[in-house]
Amino acid sequence: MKTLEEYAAIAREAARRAGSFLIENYGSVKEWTCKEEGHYMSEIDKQCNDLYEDFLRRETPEAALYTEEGEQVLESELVWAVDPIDGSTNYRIGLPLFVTQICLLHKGEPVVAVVNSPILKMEYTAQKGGGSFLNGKRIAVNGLAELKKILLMVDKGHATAADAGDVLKLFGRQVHTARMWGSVGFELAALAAGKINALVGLKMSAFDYAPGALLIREAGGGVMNFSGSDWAAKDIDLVASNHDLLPFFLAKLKGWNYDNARIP
Amino acid sequence: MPESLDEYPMIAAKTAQLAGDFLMRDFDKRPELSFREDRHGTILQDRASDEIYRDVLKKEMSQVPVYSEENQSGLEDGLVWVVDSLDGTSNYQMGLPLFSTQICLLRDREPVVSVIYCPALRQIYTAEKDRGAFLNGKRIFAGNVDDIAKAALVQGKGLANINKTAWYLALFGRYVRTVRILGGCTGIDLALLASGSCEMTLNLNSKPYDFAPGVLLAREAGAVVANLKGDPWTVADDSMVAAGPILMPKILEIIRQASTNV
Repeated sequence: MKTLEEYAAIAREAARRAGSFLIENYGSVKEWTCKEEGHYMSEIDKQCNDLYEDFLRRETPEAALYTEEGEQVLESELVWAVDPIDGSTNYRIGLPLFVTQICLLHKGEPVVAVVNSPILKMEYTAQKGGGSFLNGKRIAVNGLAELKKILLMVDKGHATAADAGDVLKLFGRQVHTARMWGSVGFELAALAAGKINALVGLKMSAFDYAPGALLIREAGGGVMNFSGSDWAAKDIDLVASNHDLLPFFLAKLKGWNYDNARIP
Repeated sequence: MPESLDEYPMIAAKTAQLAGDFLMRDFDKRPELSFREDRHGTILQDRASDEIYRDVLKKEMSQVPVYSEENQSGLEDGLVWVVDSLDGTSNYQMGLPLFSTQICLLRDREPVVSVIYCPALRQIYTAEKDRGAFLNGKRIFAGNVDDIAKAALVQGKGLANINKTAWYLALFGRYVRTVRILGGCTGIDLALLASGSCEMTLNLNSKPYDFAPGVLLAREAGAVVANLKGDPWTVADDSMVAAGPILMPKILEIIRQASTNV
């Protein structure tokens, strides 16, 4: 095993290579296929995924890979969780709200994270116990605790847009405003940097959540599943905020059930 | 009033570029957000960029009144400039490039010339009535999908209580492929529709200067823009839905049915 610093350097290099590739191909996605109901990918997603896998296998043969478009091993002491393009739809239509991101999990726990927004030139980095940074500058979550002033992010992930609407209805009367940007990595990073106040994510995987989860924890915030335990790599739903606001969100989400009958 | 509108697009583009350049100079300053009575966030740059429009337009064509966030006196017949000098204030304030500076010329309350300039995205959208819609000088067209299940909805938040936004989101979320709320940048929402990057936009409780530039752009790109009852959108409407001509009847039917069930 290498030191955390060494792994952090490898993660940054991998994400920078991927970021350059994504800039080169920005605006060039013509063909895209429906991978599963409501989720799309292009050849660019696959190629970018290969870039990570080739690089990581060479640099860190000791680590397993859990990538969106390739090898998916989560049960290992050391695992790289990789999302080559988080926010593929935005990338395809030329909206710069997407990131390429990577996180090292040690015994399931995020210990090194890089979230790279190549077009906006924002590189978020975090290391367990070492704080969170945006382009080398320390960041912290927003301490605002007044519900009626906050900006809530909802990311529907693999849930339906109707599910996202229902989540928003749970909080619509209390919060100031809401957004759905469509790139959970970008959104969690924005939360770590104090730009948004809370986030609810639905039906996503470790490669979607893990990098941002570490960024937020190292920036002083909390990241939990809907039952109120600290978010772990297997959890598909996530809520994040500062520690003052979290209890409110957890109380509301406690009874959340995807199968509940909905009244429009 | 001049018969020809030929000089107006040039003036509109020139003024928008001046305002956009000013906004870019201040983009890294992260100005403090304060809130107006109607919950709308505002910053120093809102007013300062508005003044650029007023100064230039007064100098270039003093006979045409300017309607904007800073001066909302009646929208008269004849020619009126409608200006939103910074559309997407909260995005701008947090350093997100999804904002525009936009201007529209109304003739007898109808949009006839539009410029939506997104300086941080390096995109300038332009449209003239009956002459098409353009992105950086290239003609653009709205999509025309026939199946709402293929549609991406970009929903504005407007000044409505977020609960009202949530109601429409939960309603259309049952039908569409995916949803975005980019945040108070109606010009960009409609520009995405006009360039075929999304298939539907919906915006509640906004002002004529939020809508007018994008409405002309979307119409000239082949989309239909209506109020929530299904009538063609006019400057008197504070809410708006837009989509391709094949999708629109289905959308209006969904709204009609849901409204009668409430």
